[in-house]
Amino acid sequence: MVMAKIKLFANLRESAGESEMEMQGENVQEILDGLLTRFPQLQELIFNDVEGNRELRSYINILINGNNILHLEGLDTIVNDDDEIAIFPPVSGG
Amino acid sequence: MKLTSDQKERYAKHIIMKSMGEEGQKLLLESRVLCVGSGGLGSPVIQYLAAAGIGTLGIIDDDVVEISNLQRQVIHGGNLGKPKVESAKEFVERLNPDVTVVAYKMRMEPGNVEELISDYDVVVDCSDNFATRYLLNDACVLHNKPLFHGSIFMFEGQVMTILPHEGPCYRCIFSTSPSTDAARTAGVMGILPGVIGTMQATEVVKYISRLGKPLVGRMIYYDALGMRFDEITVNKNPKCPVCGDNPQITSIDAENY
Repeated sequence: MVMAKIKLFANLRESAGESEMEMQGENVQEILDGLLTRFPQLQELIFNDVEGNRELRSYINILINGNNILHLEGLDTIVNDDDEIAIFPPVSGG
Repeated sequence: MKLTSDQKERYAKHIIMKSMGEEGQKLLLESRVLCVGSGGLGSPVIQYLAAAGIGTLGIIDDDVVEISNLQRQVIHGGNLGKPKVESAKEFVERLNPDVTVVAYKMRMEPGNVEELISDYDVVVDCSDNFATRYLLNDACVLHNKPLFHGSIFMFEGQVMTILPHEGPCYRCIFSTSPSTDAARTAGVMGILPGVIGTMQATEVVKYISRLGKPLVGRMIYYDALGMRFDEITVNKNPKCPVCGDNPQITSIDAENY
């Protein structure tokens, strides 16, 4: 099984109570499924519920080793062992 | 312009560096920078831009100094109850008489943003809410004004430089605003805006004096607890609502903020 490292930032980190964790999965979707099973409270911070379908919120960024999945294969992007997946929202404080 | 002998002394450590020299210092002294917000991020930005000899520093903020600000807003000491723009102006005048401060005690809004930014060469985003951040981004993209972004949350901060159309804008990365401002209630480590704000000020000085490589197409993500700086590559988004191929936002419309 592929094991990737997840890094959460800002209010995602705050909500999960952890900043880094390891998660199993073959692609980003599976990794996120695992993450939400472990931290169900992240569901509404990361996804919109559009008529029963989950849709990634437009301001949530998911990067694999620094590359945005939007410019790869989206949630279908294949994950390799030791990949680092970063999930971050914008922050507003000043 | 010609540097006076006082100015040659004041800026000696800049001028002695060949890559900056008198030419770079003159560019700073002739420049006009608008700083939006004079709180946590605004304090170090104003402090260091004033020290660097930015010719005209516009400062916009509608708040007054409160005691809970002083844990991080280091330019407002002794000025409880005063409008922050006046307090900031006093600070700058004490530090560097070369700098002309234009104080705007008001909020930046859809109705005034375009006129305000039109008087300046570059804009520094030190605001504290998403509405102002998206408004500033859109106005700066539409008017092709460099925008120096910084934002903070608890122990973390984000920095990037936006050169409209040359590189990605804020909406290329975060296309719409979250509906809630988690930072409002979350708290912040007092030193954090010092780190992020000085990086914004660094980018401004580099840009104006034409030095180095700007933080364009990259975002620095700083995590104080892990003491880590992550550099995240960010690309222009062809679907960006304001700078993409078919933008939906083509003027400043109050409904969008």
